Amino acid sequence: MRIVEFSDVGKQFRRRGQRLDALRDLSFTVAAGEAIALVGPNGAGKSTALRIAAGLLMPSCGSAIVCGFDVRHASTHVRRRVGVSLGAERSFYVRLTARMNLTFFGRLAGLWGRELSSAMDCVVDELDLEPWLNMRAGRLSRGTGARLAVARAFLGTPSLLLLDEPFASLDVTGCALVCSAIERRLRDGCALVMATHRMEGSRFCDQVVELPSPGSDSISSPELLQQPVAAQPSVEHS
Amino acid sequence: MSRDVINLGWAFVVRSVATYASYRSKLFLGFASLLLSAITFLFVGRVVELAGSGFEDEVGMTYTAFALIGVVVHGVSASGLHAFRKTVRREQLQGTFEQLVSSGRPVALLVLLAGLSEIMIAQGVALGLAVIVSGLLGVTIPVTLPALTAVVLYSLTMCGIGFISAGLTTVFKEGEPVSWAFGALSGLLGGVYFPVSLLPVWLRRVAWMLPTSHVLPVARAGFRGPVHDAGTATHLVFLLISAAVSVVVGLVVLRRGCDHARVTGTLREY
Repeated sequence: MRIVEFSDVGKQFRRRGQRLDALRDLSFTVAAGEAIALVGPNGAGKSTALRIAAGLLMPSCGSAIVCGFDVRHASTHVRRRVGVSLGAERSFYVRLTARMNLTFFGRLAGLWGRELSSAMDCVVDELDLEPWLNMRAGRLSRGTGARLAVARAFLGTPSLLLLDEPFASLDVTGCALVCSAIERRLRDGCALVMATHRMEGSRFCDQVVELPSPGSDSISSPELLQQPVAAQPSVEHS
Repeated sequence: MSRDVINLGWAFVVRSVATYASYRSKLFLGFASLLLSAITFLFVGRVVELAGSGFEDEVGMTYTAFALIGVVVHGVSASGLHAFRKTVRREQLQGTFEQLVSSGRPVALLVLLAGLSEIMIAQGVALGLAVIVSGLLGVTIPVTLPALTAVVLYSLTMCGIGFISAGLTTVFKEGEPVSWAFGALSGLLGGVYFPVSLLPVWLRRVAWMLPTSHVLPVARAGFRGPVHDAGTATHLVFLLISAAVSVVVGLVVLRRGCDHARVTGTLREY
């Protein structure tokens, strides 16, 4: 089952009369249990692509179908089915503890009572967040905040995970924790689209799509860039 | 109302209370400010009485009672005017607005529940204080059915205008003019601090277009005994129409504002 179908998706912004191409002609598909990494330099449109897939941004052109719904016309249905982490910094209530934040966003995802407790226990255990649960979100280190953001994205058992630079602030242990938690979800049939500069995560990705630099005309070789990386030695699929 | 919406509302209330409680000095100072302004009205009222202006004979109550009712009704109901805009603004500044929207809940519902939880806290504090202050000042605020109906309709009107304001805030971020205009005009022309009858005739016409000018006469009427006259009915009809129109327009503007932000990519901008 295809979870994401991007076909020639583009996004232009208008800023003071000037047109800015944030994303151009991006096409890829992701099936259930598959993972794709969007790589590319700053400004290439990785985060824009994730926001479009999350139903938070309307594409200017092309077709974006996520979980069977067109993001243009049924973005609410899309948003209900995805778990997003679009930058750990400035996305939590800094005066509330990590536990309160997870509880609040878990409730927002429709989890209550034992279901919420069990989901929280699971992600807290997986990402080793227990020691920081009673600390205010504003006082967490960057790495812990990043893990908390990934934990939040896991709540509500989404069909699709959209993670923006999930390894950016993580140490080796943190990377390993996040990687194994993501792999567990992939095995359960969840799909993943991830924007990353670092290649730690791409080991479990079925595709790596490189986005061109802003200003350049095209991707050098789409066939090459969209090749499956499952053949890479480090990849283990179950 | 579905259980899911109630649960969601509860989540917002818990979040808001926890956030408020974390700012202890702000809570205390806010309480102190309200208390001080109420005491100010007590002394202004005494000055009016000493001046022998005949205010009580003309209006039917002391100035202290007049102003206290004006401030409480306007302040409590009008919290809806600013709560939704402030909620959107604060979420944008914190970076949590996009995260809220990404939950897949309707944006209007999220803004409504987030704003309502803020309003409940603000109204709870203000009403508690009103009870304390009215006790200290020896003023009993009469609660009648028409007065309650008028306050509820006025609150709905203010919430509707608050939605318009929140919708515009998603686009303009700062400098949204609707809540400013209604807040400023209501304070000046709505009869909060002085009777509308004191205004020049041409300004009175403007004043009667404001919902505040219709809620306060009904709220204050209780002082002169139960009132079910044609004037009260006219005020209630005006408030009913203004509530219906503003809520519908407000929801449309809020939805359009969020759609616009999704197109321009400014949901997370501040």
